[in-house]
Amino acid sequence: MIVLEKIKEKAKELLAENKVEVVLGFTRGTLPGKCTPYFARKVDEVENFVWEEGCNHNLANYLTKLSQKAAIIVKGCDSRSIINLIKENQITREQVYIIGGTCPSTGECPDCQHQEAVIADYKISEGEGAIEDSFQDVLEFEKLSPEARKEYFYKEASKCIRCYACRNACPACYCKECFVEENLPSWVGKTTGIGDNIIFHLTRAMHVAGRCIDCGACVRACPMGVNLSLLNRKMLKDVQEMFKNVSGLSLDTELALNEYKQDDSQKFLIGGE
Amino acid sequence: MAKYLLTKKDLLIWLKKLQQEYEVLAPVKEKKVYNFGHWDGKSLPDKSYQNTLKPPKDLFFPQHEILLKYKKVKGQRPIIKAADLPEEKRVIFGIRPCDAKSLSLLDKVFLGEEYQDPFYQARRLNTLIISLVCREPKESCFCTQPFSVEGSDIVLFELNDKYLVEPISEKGKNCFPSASYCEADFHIIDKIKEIKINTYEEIASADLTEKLDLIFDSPIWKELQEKCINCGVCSFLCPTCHCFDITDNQQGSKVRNWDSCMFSGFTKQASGHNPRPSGTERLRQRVMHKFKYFPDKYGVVACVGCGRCVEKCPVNLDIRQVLLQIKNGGEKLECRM
Amino acid sequence: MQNLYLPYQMRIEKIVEESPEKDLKTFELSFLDSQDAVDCKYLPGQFAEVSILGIGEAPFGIASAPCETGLVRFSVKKAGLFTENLHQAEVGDIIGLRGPLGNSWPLEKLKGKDIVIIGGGFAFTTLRSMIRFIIEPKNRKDFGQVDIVYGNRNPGQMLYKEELEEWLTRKDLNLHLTIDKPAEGWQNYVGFVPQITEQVIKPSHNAVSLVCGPPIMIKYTLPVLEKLGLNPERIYTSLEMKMKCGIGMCGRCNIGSKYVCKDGPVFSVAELEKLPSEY
Repeated sequence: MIVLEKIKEKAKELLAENKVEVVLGFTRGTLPGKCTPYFARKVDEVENFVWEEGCNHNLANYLTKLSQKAAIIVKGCDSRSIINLIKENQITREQVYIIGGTCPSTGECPDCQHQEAVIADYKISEGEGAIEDSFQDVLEFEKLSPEARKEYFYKEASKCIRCYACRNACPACYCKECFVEENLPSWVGKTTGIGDNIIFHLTRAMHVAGRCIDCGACVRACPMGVNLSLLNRKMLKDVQEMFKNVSGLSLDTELALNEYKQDDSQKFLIGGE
Repeated sequence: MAKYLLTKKDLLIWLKKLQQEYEVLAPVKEKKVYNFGHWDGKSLPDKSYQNTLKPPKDLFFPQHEILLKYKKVKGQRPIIKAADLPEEKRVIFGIRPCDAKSLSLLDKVFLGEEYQDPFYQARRLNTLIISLVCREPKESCFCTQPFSVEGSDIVLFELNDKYLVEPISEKGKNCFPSASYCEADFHIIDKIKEIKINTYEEIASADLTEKLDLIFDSPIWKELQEKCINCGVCSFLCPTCHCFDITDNQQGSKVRNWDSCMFSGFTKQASGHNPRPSGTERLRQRVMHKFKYFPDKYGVVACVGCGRCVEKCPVNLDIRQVLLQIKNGGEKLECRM
Repeated sequence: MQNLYLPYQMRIEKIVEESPEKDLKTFELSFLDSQDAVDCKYLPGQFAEVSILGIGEAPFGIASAPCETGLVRFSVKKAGLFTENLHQAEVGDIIGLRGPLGNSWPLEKLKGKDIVIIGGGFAFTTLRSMIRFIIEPKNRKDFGQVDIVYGNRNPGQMLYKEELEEWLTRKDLNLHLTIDKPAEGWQNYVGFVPQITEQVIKPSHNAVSLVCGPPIMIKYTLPVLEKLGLNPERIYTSLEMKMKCGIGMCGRCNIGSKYVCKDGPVFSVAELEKLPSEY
């Protein structure tokens, strides 16, 4: 049976037996190559699901907003975000039924390490398993001079129009009130001047450090082509090296920056060891 | 109105001449994307130019603008000065007719009978709009008036290697040396018909406005917005969205910044009360504003069909589909894959 | 071209602490430039954007009346960042005023009519402006009988206490003050505004009512007024929404097709019934 048929069969079963009220997946979009999130609530709506190139949005993003018992069709990244959301008490494991598969839309992410769902109640396919991240892009970037690196990030941030699509597409950005919305008094200016833009992007990067799973949702959502990938991946690499922790792989280990250990690496501090 | 036939060379000479007096802005390509920028004086947009990523509104209503400057002096009255009005004379060349039309819609907001925004007004007065009719629509386009001259001072049609130039406004007529060129005959003008236009029927028609009147409290809004992530892509890339915020900064200026009805803080009051507390009310506001409230106030919908929101929505929440669903009560847009 | 965003510069002449809770102050402002006092012509019911440099702007209903020349008065409850800063201002400080903005109480439609004024809490400001306007000797003959119900949680929250004392003694208006619960020394009504309104107001066939107060008070007062024979065309209220520009451009204060800043803030209940209930 092909993967999509297995998805549909399971989704129908869950809805028909009232095990869930809604199934989150994708349906075909209105532009070539695009798929769009789809919420099936009736058995016959399940026929609209697709599982193909273009199914790339991180659906875990919607779970924190749903009050209903839901099933979700996930690929590697969505499943890793779900693990983090459960660990941060944003959702419960019981509240969500996970239909896990291998990402059908890796065209834009050739170096993806976790194409396959790492957590699932029902598996629709068996993938290759995880690949070690070589961080080749970050290693190259680290070789640049501080000025060159600054210039790169300033150039990226200068394109930003502060529409917050990156933040809103990110499952790790679940804050009810984001620091940019603080206005009594304001924490960060609303202009698109480089100063305000840099503060926004760097603060957000720090806030998702240790929780970001490099799904690329922020980069895909950006209408202006701001590439945050290197920034996020540098954080990822640092966390991995300093705390021996890759987030979103297991429900049993704590998120690196959510716990304190006496022997934690302090390399990130100025002068720290 | 008379149309004149120009070769590419004629066009370049005329634009170069304008450049002596005006700052000429044209679609400039960087990394596959076009935006308005300083014209290099020699190149014209090629076939890859469909439209600019950012709408032209920021050339008149910038995303960030200083309204006032002030200086506090201890023990004395503060010095408050209105920001200087922009004086630069500009030509915007190559703007698409849909976007030119969007300027006429913004005029209704910023140049009202009672109040006129001085900064917007100064830029509008100092700018000559030369629009370029599309050769073929994008996948995301849904304009129904590809030949609209509204908002344009001069309209250009591309015909193979030649251009048809049609001065529209008085300002346009004064800037175009029509005596130097031949008036195009009807055989040539007839070629305009070869330009491909999109097949969208008018989505935003009168019956839509009527329908919107009835469905304010309908559950359809909750359903329509379910996948919306409440970012500001659609409003910031929309050529007619004009909402803004005014704040004081710490550098002694009162500034305005674009704002969006999709953001939760937009209507949140100091008391904490928010008339539009969730995404449902906010999406409804955006659709209603464009297709009901704006027509109620100004007699025309606040959408020109440029398709930027369709193309750039991170979750492909397609406004065409939203409108069709409202209009047909559930029927969805046929997939065009 | 005049810059719409340029405020008049105003000097704080007097600050009145209105309540024992110290969360309510009335600011009396004078124009630094005398020409501004001539240019800034307003009507009861209009509002203005008050500004503090470096902090921002916020809209407030004008509490003074046009006949009180040379000064403009606002009563401000401490609620957010701006009002907290305004409350820290001192006599002699200079602040900004942009306005007047919005429509006013419907003066033309009120001429020759009996007026029923219902107010609650600190939203009494523009109603006070209206009352002050009516009792100005040259205006008084333009209006019929004037009945007022003004209620608060407790006596301390009453705005303009001295003036209310004087109004209680006037023959040309009937002022009914009420508080929610009995309090020591209180000699006026006790009860919620809708209830007292039903008790004391006997509107004539040509009466028009102006209502302003917290949403809950308005919600329960409107049916009472209708029961007393006032139809929705003859009841007016003033709305509050978050505002920025005040001139119908910035797009945030709309209720349906109406901008509260420009088409309002005063609407008849009949008009409101045609608008979506999104406020």
